[in-house]
Amino acid sequence: MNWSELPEMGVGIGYREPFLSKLFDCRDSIDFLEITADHYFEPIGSKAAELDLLANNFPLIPHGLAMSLGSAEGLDATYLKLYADLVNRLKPAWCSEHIAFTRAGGIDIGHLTPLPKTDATLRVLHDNIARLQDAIQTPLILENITDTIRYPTESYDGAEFLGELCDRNDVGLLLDVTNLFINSANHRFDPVEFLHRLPKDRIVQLHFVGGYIEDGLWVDSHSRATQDEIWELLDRVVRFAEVKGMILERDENIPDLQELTTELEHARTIVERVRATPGA
Amino acid sequence: MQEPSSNEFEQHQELERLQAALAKRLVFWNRSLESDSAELDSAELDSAELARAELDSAELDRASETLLRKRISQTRSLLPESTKLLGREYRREFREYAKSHHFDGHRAILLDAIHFADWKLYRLAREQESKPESHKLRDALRWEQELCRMRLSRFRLRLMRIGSEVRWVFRCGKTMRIWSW
Repeated sequence: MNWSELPEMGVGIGYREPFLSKLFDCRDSIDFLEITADHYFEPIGSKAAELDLLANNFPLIPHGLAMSLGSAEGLDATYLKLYADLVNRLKPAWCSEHIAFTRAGGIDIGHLTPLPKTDATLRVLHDNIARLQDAIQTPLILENITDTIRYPTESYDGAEFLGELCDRNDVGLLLDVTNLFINSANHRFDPVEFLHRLPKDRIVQLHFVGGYIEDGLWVDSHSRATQDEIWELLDRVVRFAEVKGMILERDENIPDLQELTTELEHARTIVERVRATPGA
Repeated sequence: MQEPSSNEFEQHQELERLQAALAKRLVFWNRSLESDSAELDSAELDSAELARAELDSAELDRASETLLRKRISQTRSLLPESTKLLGREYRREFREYAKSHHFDGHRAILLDAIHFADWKLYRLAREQESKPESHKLRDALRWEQELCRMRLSRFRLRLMRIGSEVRWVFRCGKTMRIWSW
């Protein structure tokens, strides 16, 4: 896959139901929408109508939550089929999932859980990714999550692991800038040095949003306006890689959509400034 | 496809066991192990698995707490009126409920909200003196709980007495609902 050939999607927002009424008023500020794939599995009735409305008016990127690509017990066949049906129906420019596991031992954790960065995990990811890619005809990009749990006996650090993952699989990266920032702040490493060790030609899309600090640790809450430190890191990412799209991902404490479009404009300004002065 | 070596196979098994133990530790963080010896044995094996991986128990506690907060937030969105009526008590009440009710994954969000509403309704029913605001809370819980139940099944018709009125709700498929006010 030649990742540079993917279309430019611009700056958009992670679609949430409360946005619907104002979405069309803010159309000029939203280039594309990322939808949560799980919310549109076998859509019927009003959910099907909503999906049609969104698809007819915005380019859509489906973003899965619970494929559990890192599960050593393999993928859930039903979930895989539902995800693939949606992707194959929408025919998006690309689709995305997480580098995580959400299911093990018959338990659905309901949350993205970090994986140990080992060869065994890379082999599991390779098998599961191959199975997913067999079911879809769409480029797949994978997102870094916050490392809420660390495994002391890992074989790779975070950047090496993402590099290995890209070397062994034909996947792109959905770099969550906020997650990178939070990991660097909580686990004390330099996010820019980490960034520069990533395969830059694979960084396709970005996520950004604000978090908060609790008991001295950053929490990836998707609940605040993007903080200055995260904007600065996003600027560095845009200077480093030819990003095809950026999504503001707000899930809690959701303000009026108009307020969020200010953040979209800020992101757009960063991209325009960087592209106007390459190498600066 | 290349066959995995025996070493790779062992590593895969080890990863599978670790993930299963971790999932249990995160979801059933407050499980009380009574006298069931099979459960005690299984819990011991899980602990050994997590200890072998040298995971930090403070980090695991924080991750469990994150899961609980997510449940609190998701249930609030499913029972908006009831949780508004509970006000500041809601978080405390939910934490108390969570001591005896476990959550199992994002597909169980609706069940979690239904069970929390049941738990709270039971407590309200046991109150010695019923306050006027309790009636309002009870009605909100019953109504919103019913809306959650509607989302679980494909076809459902329910008649409910809410205060002095009788309301009906008909559900067809995953999203279509018709109700009387």
